[in-house]
Amino acid sequence: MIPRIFGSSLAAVIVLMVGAESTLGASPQVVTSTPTVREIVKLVSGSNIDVVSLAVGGQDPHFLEAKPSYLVKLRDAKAVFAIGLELEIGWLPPLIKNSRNPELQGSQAKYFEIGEWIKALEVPTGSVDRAQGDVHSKGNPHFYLDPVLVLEILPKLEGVLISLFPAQTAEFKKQTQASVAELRDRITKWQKRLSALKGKGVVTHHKTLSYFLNRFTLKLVDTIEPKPGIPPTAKHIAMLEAQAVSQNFSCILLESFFDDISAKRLKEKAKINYRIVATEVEALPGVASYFDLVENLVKSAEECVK
Amino acid sequence: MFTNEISFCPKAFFILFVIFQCNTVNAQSIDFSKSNPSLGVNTLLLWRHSSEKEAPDSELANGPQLQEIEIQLGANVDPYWRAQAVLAIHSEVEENSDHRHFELHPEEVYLESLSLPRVTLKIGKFLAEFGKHNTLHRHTFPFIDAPLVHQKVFGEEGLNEAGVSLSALLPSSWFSEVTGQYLAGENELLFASPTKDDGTGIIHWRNLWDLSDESTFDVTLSAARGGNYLKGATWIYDVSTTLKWRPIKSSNERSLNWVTEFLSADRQNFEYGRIGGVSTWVQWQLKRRWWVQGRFDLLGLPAANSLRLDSEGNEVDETRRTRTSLLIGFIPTEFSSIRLQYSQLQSRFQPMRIDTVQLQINASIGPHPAHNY
Repeated sequence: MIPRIFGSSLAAVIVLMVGAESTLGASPQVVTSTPTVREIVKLVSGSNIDVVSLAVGGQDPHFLEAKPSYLVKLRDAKAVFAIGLELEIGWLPPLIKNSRNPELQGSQAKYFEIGEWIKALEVPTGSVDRAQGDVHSKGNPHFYLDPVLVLEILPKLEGVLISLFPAQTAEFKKQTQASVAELRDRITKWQKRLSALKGKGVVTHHKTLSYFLNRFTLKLVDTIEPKPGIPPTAKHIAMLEAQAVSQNFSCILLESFFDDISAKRLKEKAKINYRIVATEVEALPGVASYFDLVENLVKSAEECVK
Repeated sequence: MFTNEISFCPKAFFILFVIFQCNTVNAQSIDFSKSNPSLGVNTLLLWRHSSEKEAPDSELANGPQLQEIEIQLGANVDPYWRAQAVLAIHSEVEENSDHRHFELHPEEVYLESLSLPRVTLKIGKFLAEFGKHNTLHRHTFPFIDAPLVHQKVFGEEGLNEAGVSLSALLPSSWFSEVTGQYLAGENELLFASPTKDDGTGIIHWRNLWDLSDESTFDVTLSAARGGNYLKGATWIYDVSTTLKWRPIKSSNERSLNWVTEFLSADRQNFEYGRIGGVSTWVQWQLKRRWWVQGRFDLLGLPAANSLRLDSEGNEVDETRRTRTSLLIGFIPTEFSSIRLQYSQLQSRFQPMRIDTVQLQINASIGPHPAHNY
């Protein structure tokens, strides 16, 4: 009896699903690991192709779980773009492996890590082991918060997208040209606005803002976490309190996906300002595009760093 | 008494040699550091104290013990196949003696297709896709021990045999995966048919829906059929549900898992052929490093099949058991954990109660692969 019920229900649902396929929307053409990569791809593609992200804004891209529902997006994807530099190493490789999508496997895979196109900061020298925390052996992967680096990778991205979708060549070239012009213009304005803060010290929770601070000549004094990926200890927070005086920093730019318990304590004990900032598109309200993302960081720095 | 000797399974090493030798060709032209298989090692240390006074086999002995060492090797063989091997070393008790020694077993050794569209073909020895718990390696068990019904139905090693598996993603808007498997049918508690070529067929169907960006609901149905050693047929069924929640903000600070699994086996020609039970557990992440968990096991469903009368007409408890477990876990990083578990096992029909406290330390080195969701 049970086998018959089991078999019948399975057959019925398969028939329903096959029938339903025709009513489903078109499969995404390009899948990205995070909303920020999606918006960077859109700087070239515009709305000419369908680009979807696996992660949603506000999720820490280091610690996503490999949800099986992501496979539904990946199984028919024509290409996947990720940040790379080991940022998604804990969850994206098993999804790619289980996607049953031959386009994403092997040496000719249409799987692109855009971090491979830049010169990474903070590449560890000497031996790397886990006693140092979650150190990325290929360097800091948060390069996408430096708009100049994003500007530099757009031509390469344009070439890859044209090779994937040659019919859209004219549209991609036009869109890239417009994005490059706007980004150049905005970078000039952002640099001007932050020039008054040159050399000022900032603390973050994780080394997420190294590239942003480096580009706009601010200084990363320390991080709230004592080692990458390791939660803060009372001793380390006390040391930061002391550093606030000796190293003359007055601002914490706190990535939105971390708890603000330690930042609150530093504000109470050492009068250090903190701002919750978006480090991914859609991480905070009003941050809907790549331009919004950098604008949020620039504005937060203007308001917080003294 | 432990000895330092390790018994090797020659078959395992032959299979490993055949699979991984592919990665050592063209030695003059390739960088070995990039072509070598990834290697991970996981160690489980256990201290156990139980009021149970039974045979000191590897699972039930009191005191400190090296519970298991697991070695994982994995690499792409070529553009078409990926090879994966999981070797487990754990202590075994020699027959008719309390002498223990370590044995090395090929827990999983298989090839998996890389380039087939829409389907994945797996060939080798592997943990069968059946229900929720059976696919887990020991170091990823949600509790220190397996659910009671799994121990009773599948035995200590789970449903883990040589065979072939084909899984496909169905064309639905939600995750729906069907896996068909054909295994050798060697499990002595369930199958081991004397008829040659009488293997075990399994169908496994998993559906998962995103209730929101923060929560998912998973329903898994599994069924298997194979010949047993009494020349009858054995059927096994499993229904599992899983509710998971993880907030978007502070996603590594809070989470909740609630799993319920019903498992039943019907073995023809056995005197007490029907056996089944249910296990339900909740895992609550209090803070980034701290978990509290609770589990309830009921073994002996349906009830009528778990009872019999002895020669004096008294009810004899054949399988009816309940077990309640509580666990506190401290997990400093994804590569180590310390877990303390208390369990109380009771019989519904006999004045029996077994209290067990276990402390387990889990440590992994090397590129440990991500666990299943």
